[in-house]
Amino acid sequence: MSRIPKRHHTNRENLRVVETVDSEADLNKAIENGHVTLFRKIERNPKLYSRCLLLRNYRSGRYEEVPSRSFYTRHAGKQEFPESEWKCMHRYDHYHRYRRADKAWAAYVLPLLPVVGERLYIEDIIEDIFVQGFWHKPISADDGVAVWNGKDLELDEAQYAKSHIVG
Amino acid sequence: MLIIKDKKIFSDDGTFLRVIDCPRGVSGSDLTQTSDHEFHCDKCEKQIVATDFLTEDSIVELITDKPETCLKVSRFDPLFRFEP
Repeated sequence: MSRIPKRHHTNRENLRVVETVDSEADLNKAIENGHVTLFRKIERNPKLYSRCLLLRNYRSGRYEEVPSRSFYTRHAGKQEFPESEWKCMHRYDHYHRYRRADKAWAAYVLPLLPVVGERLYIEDIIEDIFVQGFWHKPISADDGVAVWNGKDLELDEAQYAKSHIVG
Repeated sequence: MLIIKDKKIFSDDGTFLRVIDCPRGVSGSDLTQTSDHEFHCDKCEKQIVATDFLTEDSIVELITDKPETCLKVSRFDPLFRFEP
């Protein structure tokens, strides 16, 4: 069964793993092998877009791709690109989920004989879930934990609220 | 690099800097952004400084000079290493 590349694993609880497939061959093979499979449409999440500007300096001709005409960076502080110095060549929204750009669906393949109430680790989440914004860009969830309720996987989105620590 | 372990912030050489543990259990959804790096806490009415755009030196200086300042640290920030 082919797997879709993923950025990292965080199966800290050593749970049984839900695999993700996005071809009918892999899906049918999983069904033939007795797995429960769950089909999902791939739908974009409006929160995962960020605004981008492509600017060009009138004097030097140099291009810069920026989130806005004024923004902060860690090492250079406040950055400013005034209209008097920079022409806006293009204004567009960038989508921050890089995988499956050419796919309309995918499916979860559960481990054999899942138990109702069992917590399972999804190594490659199909849904486009917004986790947080960082450095002017939205970050999506790669993996997560869900509970099998006998009919579907219930994904606990509260797990992503812990992506900040405050105090 | 700063290290966060057991809700404590340490410098790279292991020096303890401060505790980061909100007693009210505030999460990101309880905060209202007021500027690029500041948030308003809806639970205790304090300003909270996000470390996203601060350098390591600035963070250490802030912790040292104003230890009462509340911080908001992203787990995606490459300046921090979160240890279990």
